[in-house]
Amino acid sequence: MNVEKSFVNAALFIVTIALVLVGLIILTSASAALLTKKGIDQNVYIHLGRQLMWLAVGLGLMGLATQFDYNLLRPVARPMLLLNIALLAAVLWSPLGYTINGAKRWLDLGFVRVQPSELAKLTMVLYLAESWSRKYEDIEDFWRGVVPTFIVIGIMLAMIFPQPDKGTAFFLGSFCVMLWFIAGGNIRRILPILCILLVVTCILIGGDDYSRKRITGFFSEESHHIRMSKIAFANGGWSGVGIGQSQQTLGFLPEPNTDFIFSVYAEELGFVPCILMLFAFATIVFLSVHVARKCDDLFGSLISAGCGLCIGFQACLNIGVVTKVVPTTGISLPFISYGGSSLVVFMVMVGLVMNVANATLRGETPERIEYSKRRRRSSAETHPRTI
Amino acid sequence: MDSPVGRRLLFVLTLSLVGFVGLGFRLYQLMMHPEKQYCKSHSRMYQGHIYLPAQRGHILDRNSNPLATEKTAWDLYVTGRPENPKEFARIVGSTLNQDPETLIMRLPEKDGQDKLVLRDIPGEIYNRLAAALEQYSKTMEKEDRVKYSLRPHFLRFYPEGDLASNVIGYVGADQVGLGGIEYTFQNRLESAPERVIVPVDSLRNILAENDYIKQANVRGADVILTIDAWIQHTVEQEIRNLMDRSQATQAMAVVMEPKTGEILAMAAVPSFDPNDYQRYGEFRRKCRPVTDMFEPGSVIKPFVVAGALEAGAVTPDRVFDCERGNYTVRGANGRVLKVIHDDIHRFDRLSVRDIVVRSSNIGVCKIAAQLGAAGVSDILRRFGFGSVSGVELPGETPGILRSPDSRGWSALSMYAMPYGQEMATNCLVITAAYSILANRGLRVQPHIVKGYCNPADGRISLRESQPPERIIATEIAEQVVEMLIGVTEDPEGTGYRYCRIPGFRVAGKTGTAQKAGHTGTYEKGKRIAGWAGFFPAYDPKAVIFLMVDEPTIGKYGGELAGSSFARIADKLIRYWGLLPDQIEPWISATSQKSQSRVDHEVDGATQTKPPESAPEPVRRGVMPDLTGLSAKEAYLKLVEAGFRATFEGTGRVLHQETSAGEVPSTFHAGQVVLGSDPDKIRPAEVLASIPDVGKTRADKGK
Repeated sequence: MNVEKSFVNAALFIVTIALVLVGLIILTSASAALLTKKGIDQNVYIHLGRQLMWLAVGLGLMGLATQFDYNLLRPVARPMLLLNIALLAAVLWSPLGYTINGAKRWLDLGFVRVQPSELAKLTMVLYLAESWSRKYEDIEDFWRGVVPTFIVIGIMLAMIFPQPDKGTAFFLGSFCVMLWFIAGGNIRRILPILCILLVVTCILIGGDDYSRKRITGFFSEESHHIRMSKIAFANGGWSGVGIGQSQQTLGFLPEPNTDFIFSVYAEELGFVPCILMLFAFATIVFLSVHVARKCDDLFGSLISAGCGLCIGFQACLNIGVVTKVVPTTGISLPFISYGGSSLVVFMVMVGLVMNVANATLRGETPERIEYSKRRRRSSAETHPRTI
Repeated sequence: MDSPVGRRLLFVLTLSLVGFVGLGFRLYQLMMHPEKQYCKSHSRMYQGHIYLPAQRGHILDRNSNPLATEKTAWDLYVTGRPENPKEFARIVGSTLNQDPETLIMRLPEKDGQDKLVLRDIPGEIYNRLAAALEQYSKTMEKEDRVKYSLRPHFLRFYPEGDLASNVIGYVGADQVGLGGIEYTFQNRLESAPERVIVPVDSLRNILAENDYIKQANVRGADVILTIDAWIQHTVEQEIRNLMDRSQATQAMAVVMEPKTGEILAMAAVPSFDPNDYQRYGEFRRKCRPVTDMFEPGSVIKPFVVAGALEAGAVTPDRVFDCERGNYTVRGANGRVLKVIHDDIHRFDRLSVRDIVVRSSNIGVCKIAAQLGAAGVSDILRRFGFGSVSGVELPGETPGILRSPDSRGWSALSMYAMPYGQEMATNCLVITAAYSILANRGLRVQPHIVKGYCNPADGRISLRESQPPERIIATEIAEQVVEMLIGVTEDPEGTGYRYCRIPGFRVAGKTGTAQKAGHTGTYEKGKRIAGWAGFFPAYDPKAVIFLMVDEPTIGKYGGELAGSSFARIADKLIRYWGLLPDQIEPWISATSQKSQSRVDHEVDGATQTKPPESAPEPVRRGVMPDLTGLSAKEAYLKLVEAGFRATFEGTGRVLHQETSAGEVPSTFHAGQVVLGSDPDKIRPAEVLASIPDVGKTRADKGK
């Protein structure tokens, strides 16, 4: 039994479960307010029940994600991407698309509603990992190795963008560039790419009144969302107002159970738990990057780092929004915000990090090294260098 | 894995950790040192308020017996249309004995609508209704999106029913006073509703409203009346009895404490039950002793006489020819203006005193002629007729009193007003006028409110009293009071038969007035029989005026109102524990006097000096010498002189505080010390005297 492996696995599992449990508590408190908005005594625990259902699914899939050789994902990555694009297309153009608050992001399957743009985070990580690990030598070659991949990702983002879910689209776009950087992208190419991305972003935002106001508003006046969020933080202070005692959830704080759930958390529990939550996300990032560094396989390394950084990056973005560090975008807080698709996807991501950790930290025996070398070789042979 | 992926991973990791640390600082900044505008100033954002209807102040009698209080009732509000209105109406309707169909009509039409479905549900039914609503919610599926709330408010409740209802008044459905004290003191009795701060959500929806709905703690000020519930009850019982006995249309009475002007009872029958005032007409609801005017009749005579005495036009002993009951008044040209009758007796010659005692219309008209038209009008106005008494009750009528220079005055008015025709007034003004005589010429403001009680701290603030005002000289008032005593003490007096109270001297006057009909002429057989009087005559404790309207059995004020007066007075004497003041018949001497005087006095003659009365050792108003008398003898002698005293010790009188022959300033002659041992005599203490009357009288004397 390897101590490091056990520690990494246990730490990831405990941190994830702790975040999920805290999330359930805060979610319950935050959801109650949404219901009182309607002035009706509905079942306060309806959101909690749904989230628990998704948690069960997520736990199952997380367990499943640890149980197989992650190399089996290589052939799955591209079909999965195609499936995800198909789902996104279904959201946009099929009658199954479901609209909440003017955003058509959901796919109504009758018994559940799923959000394909959440799944896109996972499929994108897998696709990029698969793609760049397979043509590792080509990654230096910008036109052959990188641009085709970006075009595929661009198609997916173009379908997320008009949902509208601009926040997620920008998040995925920048995350894609970050993974490319990690995978060994050419630094000289990254700067122009970033510039192009910035210009595209500016054009897209400048063309849309609503988005432009958000960005300009970030630098000038305080929006209602942010003001309410800041009041929640001020209410929280050192010790918090107590679980279930949040006043900002009573319809003052917008989206208290999704995008602004961190403000509710801060208001109810206070400063120290906030730092603990940051620490928890940092732990996930640290452990996943640690596993990625240890992993001698670029595919596993990119999966581990991609999953962990995706969680951490999204958490940072969300907390940055509610604390007015970055402009307001509709990004949820992993494990905490209400939303089944997101919860399941992030739990599967943690499962994959544990999977890679299992494979990587199995002990540095010579046989093991030999095995992995062989495996890498064979995988390079079985997968041709085409997109 | 090492370069380059490892290095880049390390770089990204460092970057993200820096990001986390930066966020941590940002959180520290926002949570530990928030900008001012995000601290505390937003607390009002979470606060809404609801108003709980306040309690109306209570109305209490002088002994703090509640006459008007509050009880709790509940209103049923329903928000949103019930899933099953029929079932709802059936359950609620069966609890409240209401028709389910009407209940369904009252239910809200659509979701979110808030409607008052039932109001004024009594407290007894509240528990049953709450249980029924609970039962209904259980039968329905959980998705019934209807809210029920039972909101309390206060309803006026009159525990004594119709007791003093005309004075207290009543309140309407919105708990606003519509009559009597309830109307006059609306602003004091009512209170701003209690404001309760409740949590609200961003849409100002009140959260957990039912947790905050309760009875309000605030209450308007209590109004304390001068009414004594026991006396009021006695008077009401007596005049109801009187009305039934005489088969009259109504009866009214006012009992007033003359020295303070406090109204102890004010009653009118038939009255009404203020708990259910809609059932009664306006006639029963209004406070008729102040709102209704009538021609008072002979009770006016003493005031005319007082005016004549004051003007020096007559003396008590001056004799007038009473024309044997028929007196034709002629104008300047000899035309017959009016024929005045005396009802029962045909009087020949009567002194002024006997004119009052025996109530001669002709006599009083001749006295009035001495006074003059302006004088009659003036003296009546000074006694308060023709204006409101100023009591704190709504709708008081000023009555009618004409002056020679006012419209409607005719040459005949002079021969009608002295015995209470061609003028009108209300019961309270008559009572107040008699209390001026009882106070020996001082007018105190009649009032019915003693004070207010602030329910928050229980502090009572008494109503400010105005200083008494002198209307007529003490001596004049004394002379008139002597005449009024004669009304009951003189065997010929109109009040002799019915209005005497054994052991007490009573001053009063009967009044039997004809009633004018719609045609403006006096209707045959329709009368108002009244009596105004006070007792004990030399230390008046109560002025009582009673009247009975259109009696069909019995006719005269004395026999109807007077007998009721005697019964009420008898009860009051026992209630207050008054000591009798009359030891030997007062009249035996005075009646002889008047008889002898009649012999040698001529009508119209100049004022003659009254003959010195028999050498009586005791003179009214002069302190007799009590030394050496036993306690009983001394007491009798004092009372005969019209005084009271405090006795101390046993044995024979050794010392009296007020020395013999002195004219004390009060009815109370101070201390009388008895004993067998001269050493025991010590300086007498000056005891509390009756302030108002006494002092002014003393001032006048000096």
